[in-house]
Amino acid sequence: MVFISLRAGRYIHRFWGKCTLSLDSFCVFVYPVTFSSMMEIKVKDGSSLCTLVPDGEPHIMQSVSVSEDHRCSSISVKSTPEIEKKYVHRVYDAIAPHFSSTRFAKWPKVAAFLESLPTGSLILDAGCGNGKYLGLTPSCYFIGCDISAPLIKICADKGHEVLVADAVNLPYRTNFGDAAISIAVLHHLSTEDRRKKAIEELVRMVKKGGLVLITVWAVEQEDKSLLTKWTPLTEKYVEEWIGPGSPRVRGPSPFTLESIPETEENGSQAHAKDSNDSLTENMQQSMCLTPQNEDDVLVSKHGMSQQEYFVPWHLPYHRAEVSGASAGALANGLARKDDKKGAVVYDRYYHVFGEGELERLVSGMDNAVIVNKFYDKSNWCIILEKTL
Amino acid sequence: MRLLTHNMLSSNIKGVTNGFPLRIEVEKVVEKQVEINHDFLRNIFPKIDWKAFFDASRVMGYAELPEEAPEPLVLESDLEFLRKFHHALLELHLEEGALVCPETGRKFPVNKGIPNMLLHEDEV
Repeated sequence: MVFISLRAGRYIHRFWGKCTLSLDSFCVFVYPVTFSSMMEIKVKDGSSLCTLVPDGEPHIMQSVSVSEDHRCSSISVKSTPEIEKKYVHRVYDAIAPHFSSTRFAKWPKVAAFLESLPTGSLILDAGCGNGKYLGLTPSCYFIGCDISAPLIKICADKGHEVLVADAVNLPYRTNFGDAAISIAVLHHLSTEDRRKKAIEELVRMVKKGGLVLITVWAVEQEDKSLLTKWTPLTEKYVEEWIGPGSPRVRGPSPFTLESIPETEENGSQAHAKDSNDSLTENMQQSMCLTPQNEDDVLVSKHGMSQQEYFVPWHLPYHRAEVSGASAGALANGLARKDDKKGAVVYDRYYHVFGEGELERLVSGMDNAVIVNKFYDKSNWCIILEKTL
Repeated sequence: MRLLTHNMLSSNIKGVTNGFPLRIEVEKVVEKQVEINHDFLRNIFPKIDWKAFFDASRVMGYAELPEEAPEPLVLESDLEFLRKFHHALLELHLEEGALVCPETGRKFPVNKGIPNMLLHEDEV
């Protein structure tokens, strides 16, 4: 198996801790290969050329140069990265009424969790969206918050107790709530540190013994055809990104790769400028290994599952005119028109979670334990209990 | 915004050691009746910071609460107290006004009953 991680160009890795480094060259990891012939791997736009000898021994060749351009990041984890401002906040603000009209079905697992809580519980919904779950159990008191003022307005109009707040920096006293829920929220946070912080905030808010339910979109989607409608992100969109630190979600199972004929786009897909549309057509979640001619380039995007995506939202024209925000979004390229569907198309940023990723995020916490975890309808879910 | 919510809000501005309670500036208070639930009130009572709650109720124009927090036993039988507790906790709404950080003086606006607790870049 050969993994080539194309990491050309300037971009920032955010490692654990506060330092960020920018990598100017390529990492090449080589595992035992089954090719019968030598293969020369040309790395486009790269400064290094690696050759492999398939003698059954793993070769790990790294060509990494750390440029002088590294800085210790003093950006707080609570600061909102650009990608979230443009592809989460502004999108939800623009689509709020339409989005709300499609969000009415109560997910049985969430309902069951809420119904299991004692009567009279104080329940906090962080990232409540259109308030779908607020007041679901009438004997309990719900407080909802969301970063989107238009969505919160929709909640308030229904009579719910809500406020505008940031899930990464909740304005609540510690130990106050009886329980908290975070339903389809954390996958909109673009760095691992921010996702961890949001979980810490949820746990902080509840009392000792309090429960927290978190659900997030899974890499492992039940409807695989959905993935073809999503745009996998290329590095140019992400300012802070966990690269090698990301979990290897598929574990040791054989990873099969399809040879992709070397073309301008595919060979340099990490550099493609307007590659979104073509990528959507070419991308496949899993690929099969068939050694072809020596010129083929075997590529996986990071050497592991793709987890960063733009997921489109189609806002019908008649809705877009009402909101007014779409004219501006179209003008500055944050949205595009799809005349065939009669809709303005917005991209929403997602970091979809792999199996075990939620557990891994929680593993370092000393004040919470996992009491349940499950996969349901293409979501990874976890229930935590605060222990001290 | 109800006073129950106010009792759990805290200023989370960088550098603030104790952001609770937020001082209330009133522009408009609205009363909205809601059905009383005694069990709920008994569950919530231990969580409430009574001084903050008492002061807030005064600012909101309600003068019926005792300044000293009653013994929990009072909630078992004193229906009159429960009614007042319920009224101040859940039926008074700050519709327009602000919540003020006790250390920095920073105002978090409350419009149409909704507090906006988002921080600016330099406060994070």
